Amino acid sequence: MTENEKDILQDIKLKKNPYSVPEGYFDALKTQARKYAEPTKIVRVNFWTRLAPYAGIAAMFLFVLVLGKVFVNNSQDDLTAEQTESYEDFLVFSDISSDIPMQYLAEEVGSEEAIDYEDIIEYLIYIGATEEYIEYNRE
Amino acid sequence: MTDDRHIIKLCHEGEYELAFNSIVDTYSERLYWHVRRFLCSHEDTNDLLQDIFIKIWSSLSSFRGDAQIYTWLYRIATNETLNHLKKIRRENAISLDAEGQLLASRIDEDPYFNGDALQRELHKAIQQLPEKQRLVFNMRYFDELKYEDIAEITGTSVGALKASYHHAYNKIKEALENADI
Repeated sequence: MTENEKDILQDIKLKKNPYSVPEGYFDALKTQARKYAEPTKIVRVNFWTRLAPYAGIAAMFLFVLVLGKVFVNNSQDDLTAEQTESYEDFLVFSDISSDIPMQYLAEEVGSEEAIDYEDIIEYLIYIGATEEYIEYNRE
Repeated sequence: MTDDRHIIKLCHEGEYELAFNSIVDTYSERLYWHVRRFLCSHEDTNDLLQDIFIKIWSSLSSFRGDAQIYTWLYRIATNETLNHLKKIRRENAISLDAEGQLLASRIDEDPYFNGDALQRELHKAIQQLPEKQRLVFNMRYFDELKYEDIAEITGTSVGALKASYHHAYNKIKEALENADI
C-alpha cells in the first residue's frame, strides 16, 4: 500500500454502529430478561387450607343430611298427630250415637275424676233405665 | 473488570439471580449488537436474545469462573446465533451464499438502519463472507476483541483466526473499493 492509497476500512466512520433500536428498548430488554431469573413462586399451602374444600363439602353434606332428617321427623310427627286425632275422632264418633249430648263426649270421658256415681245415674235415667234396674245396679 | 469479578463472586456464592441481573445490566447491549450484526433485523435479534438470556440463566450454575465472563457470554450468544442461522438455511432450503444475500437484503428493508451508503455497503459485504470470517471480522473490527479472546469464544486457534481475519478484511476492502457509491 502506498502512502497515497488510503485504506478505506480505516475510516473511523465505518466502525460506528449504523443500527439503531426503538426508543427505550434496552430498558425493556433488561426488564424482560430479569424475569427469566425470577424464582418460581411456590405457594406453601398448610394442612388446614388444603382440607378446607373437603371440609366444606363434608359440612354441606352434613347440613343436607340434618335438614333431611328434620324434614322426615316433622313429617312423621305431623302424620302421627293426624293419625292420633283421626283415631280419637273415630273412637268418639263411631260408637256413640249422634243424639247423645256432647257433655258425655268430653275429653275427660275416660278419666276417673270426671265421672262420678251421680253422672252414671243421671245417664241411666237419661237412656230410660227403670228404677228397679238402677236400684239393682246400685248395689 | 470489577463487574466481572463481582459476577463471578456472586456465582461462587450461589447468588445466581443477582449474578444474572448483573450480567443483564452489564452485557445486554453488547450482546444485542453482537447478534444484531449477524441477523441485521431488530425483530430477529430481539427474539433470539430472549433465547440467549434463557440459555445464560440455565447455564449460570455451571459457570465456574475459569473463563472471563464476557467470553463465556459471547460464546453462548455466538453459538445460539450460528444455530439460528443454520435454522434459517434449513427452513428456507438455502445455501450459505443465499443466506448472505438474504441477510444483506434485510439491511435495505431495516427501518432501524441509519448508516450512510458506505456503511450500508460495508454491512452488506460482511453478510457475504463465509460464516467463520464473518464471525472473526465482526468481533475484531467492531468489538476490537483480542485474538486470544476470539479464540476462546469460537474454539479456534489464534493463527487460524488471524488468517480468517486477513482474508475477510481484504474481501471487504475490495468490495467497498468496487462499490458504486
